[in-house]
Amino acid sequence: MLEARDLTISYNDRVAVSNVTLILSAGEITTLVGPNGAGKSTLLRSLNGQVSRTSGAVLLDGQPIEKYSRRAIGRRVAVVAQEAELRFPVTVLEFVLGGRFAWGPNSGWGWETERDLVVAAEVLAETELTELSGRLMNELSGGERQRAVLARALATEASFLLLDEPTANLDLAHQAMLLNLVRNRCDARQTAALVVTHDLNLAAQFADNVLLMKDGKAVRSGRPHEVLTPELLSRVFDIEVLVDAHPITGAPRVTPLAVPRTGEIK
Amino acid sequence: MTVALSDPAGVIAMRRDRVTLRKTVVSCALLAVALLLAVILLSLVGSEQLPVRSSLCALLSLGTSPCGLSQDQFDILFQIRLPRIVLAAAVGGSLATAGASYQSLLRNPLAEPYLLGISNGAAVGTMVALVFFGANEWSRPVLAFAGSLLATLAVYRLARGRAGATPERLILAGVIVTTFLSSVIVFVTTLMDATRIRSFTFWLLGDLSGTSKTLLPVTIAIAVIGAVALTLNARSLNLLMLGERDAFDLGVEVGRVRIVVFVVASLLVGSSVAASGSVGYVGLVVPHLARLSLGSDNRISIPAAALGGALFVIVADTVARTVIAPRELPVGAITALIGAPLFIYLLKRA
Amino acid sequence: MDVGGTFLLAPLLKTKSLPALVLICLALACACHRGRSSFSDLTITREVIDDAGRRVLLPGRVDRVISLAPNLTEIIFAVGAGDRLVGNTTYCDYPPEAKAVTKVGDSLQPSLERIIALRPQLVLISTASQLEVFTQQLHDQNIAAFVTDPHDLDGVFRTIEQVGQILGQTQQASALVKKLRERTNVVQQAVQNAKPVRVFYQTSGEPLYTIGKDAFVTDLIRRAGGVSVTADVPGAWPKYSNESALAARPQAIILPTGGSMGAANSTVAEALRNSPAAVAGRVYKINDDHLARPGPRLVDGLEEMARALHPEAFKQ
Repeated sequence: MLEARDLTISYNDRVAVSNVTLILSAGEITTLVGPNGAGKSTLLRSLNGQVSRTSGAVLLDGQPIEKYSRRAIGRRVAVVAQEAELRFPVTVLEFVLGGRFAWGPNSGWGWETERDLVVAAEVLAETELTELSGRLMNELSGGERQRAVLARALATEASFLLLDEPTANLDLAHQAMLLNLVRNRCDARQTAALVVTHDLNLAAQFADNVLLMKDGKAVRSGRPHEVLTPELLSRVFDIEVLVDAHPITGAPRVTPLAVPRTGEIK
Repeated sequence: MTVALSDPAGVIAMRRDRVTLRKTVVSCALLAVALLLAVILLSLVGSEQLPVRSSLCALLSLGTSPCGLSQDQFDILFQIRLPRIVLAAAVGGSLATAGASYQSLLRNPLAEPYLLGISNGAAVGTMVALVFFGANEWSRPVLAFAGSLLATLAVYRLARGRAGATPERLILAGVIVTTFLSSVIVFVTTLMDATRIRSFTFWLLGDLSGTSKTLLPVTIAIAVIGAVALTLNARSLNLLMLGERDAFDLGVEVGRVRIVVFVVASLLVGSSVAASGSVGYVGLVVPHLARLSLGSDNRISIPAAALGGALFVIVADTVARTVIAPRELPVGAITALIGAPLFIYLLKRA
Repeated sequence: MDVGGTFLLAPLLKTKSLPALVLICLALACACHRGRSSFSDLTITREVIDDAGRRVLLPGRVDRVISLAPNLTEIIFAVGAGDRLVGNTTYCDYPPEAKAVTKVGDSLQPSLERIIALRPQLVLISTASQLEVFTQQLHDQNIAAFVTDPHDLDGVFRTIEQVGQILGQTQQASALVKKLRERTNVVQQAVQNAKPVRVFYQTSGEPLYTIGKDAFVTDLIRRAGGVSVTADVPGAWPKYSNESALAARPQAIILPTGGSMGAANSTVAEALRNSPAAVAGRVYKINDDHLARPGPRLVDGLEEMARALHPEAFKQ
């Protein structure tokens, strides 16, 4: 289990996260939503030990995350974020195999084992990148590249997937595809996923739980229809919204209604 | 859905698209053979003509038998030429390895010991040693190492911003430190008298003619140890090369690897500069060539760069010491003359 | 102040015209600014050609001269014109009186401002200082600059005579050159029947530098009864290959050291440690100032080299 317990993170005299409690349970997708500057990414980054806490705790399997080595964390928690610019040519296969680093020997040296190759082949198939495995990453489209980043994270066989705005630059088809892949993985292997996203409808569709944040505080957490209510959303986002049910899935569907209350643009 | 490993197409694809131990061993073996051949064949070449067959015989006997060479010829071969060629190999290997490591760590194919100010730091250290501790031979590599470490520290502190020391800021800081140290060097040079200036300027451009019986083994040892130490971090560097944050997420001890690379690379650059001045372009061109032909995987490109760098400088030095014989050119001039056009060509191809 | 201006001043002052007054002040200011060279413009000038082929205009009598090289300082004192030296470089240390003269910088980077402030009529330059750009700057300031560039001993004698002529010390210069030629002839005659000794002249040990075809020391070695093993290498101060130095098997090695050079270059280069010269102990340290400065002390250097190479010819 991966959880943040009463977590507060502040730096540079600014409180980014304030007394937030979040539990990631196996097989469930939790989405983290809120306006810019709500502390979502900071919270996500603290869950794999990248950002250090000011008070409270981040617990992995009941132990404070500071107790684990980077390798140990790497085997349990994987991150899918905006892919950094690649300045060196690397094939998709090499890129995905990078996810096996934490399973290799505890040194900077070593070669991939049969198992590494098997896992890589599996995740490439899972993300439908098998034909592209020999191509250079720079030759892929944005959607394909993001799938490769997901594939790399899946190759770590981590029990917890942290995705920071994974659909940000993707077109409609790829957005859905990516989250479907996450959903499938969580269903198949009881992986827990945390998805930070701006897209409330995508969140509504795929999430088992939603955590709504504003100014570092947790406003509400629960099932999508409990959190994505007009009152809560308009309070947090400073904009009037209409929430109805998706005609096919029945999930909450959020539609912004008017200009932001504090804005002047029309 | 599992891919059956008995599927030949899948397995072959796996081999082709990544670097394997076999590929690495084969490439490095080929390069090592080429290096050995270069050492043997190019020691037959020099400003003095030596009889080819006798020289080959003496070389292959590892110096135990003179094979008909006169004492002078034997001395030329084993006391002057061979040590110089071995020094060239050590310097070339050190600089190329350092360059390859910086490029991976800083995620920039243009990162090079000279550009980052490390070479100049080592040069200033060597100058201080020459001026204040001239008599003591050991003061040179020790102070050169200190100089390159200090330059590295300066670059790193200058580059630290809110987002950490991003590669862009590091390169910028490196350029600042390089130009500052260049001015220091020029300043000290103007305080020297005319004859010293001439010889010092020559040394600054790369001079492999300095024979030091005590320091040569040290330079070789550092080259080998450094290359091995950095190769042992190749997997980490592979991930760092693609993004520091990603590497962190995937389990790399980023801080530790960074320190190792900086310290070891400074050592490599310091020992090279102390022995032979600044031989430029090696740390830029050779790693680039290695990556272009063998792939970006550091497990193959770092050792390949080490061997390739040794080869490159041996060849360049052979040109430097024969083209206007019996006079000599600074080897740095030759590496620049070969390196710059080669680099432009590589840039165009990429 | 311009003589002509004074004549104009009186009648114009009588008119009490302000614009005219302003004009006169401007004219006077311009005249004063050109005062230094215009003074010499008004006296008798001669034209001489320097070693760079340039035509140099000089006043009839030169009272203020600056030397930008140690050898030129020595020559100026040697021809008896030392009292007229108003500036020299930090390297000019011989004779001892030269140290007291105002310094204008070192040979490579003299200070133009200092030179101008000293108001010289002539600046003597040696090409060993590589001052081509600087010569142009002096020319732009209307300061006469004379470049010397001797390639051998005869050239040095000629330089001494030239400097003597320029400074009006023709007699002393001729007498000096006569004595120097005599001493040179004595040396050359003493060694003329001896077999020339093969010499390696080590300018610097690490990296290895020696003298080439164009260096005047090559000529000097020849006159001293030796032959430089690098006599036909192109250039003046080539960086030499260690192998070739070893293969040359010199019978004697000359180490120019001491003097203004201090303790530098006092050991034989590694490549020559087993040479016939080193093995036989024929390594001679000679004061660098006697060999590197193309001036009267070059003959001292010649004598010292000859004595070292052919001791039996000088037994008295």
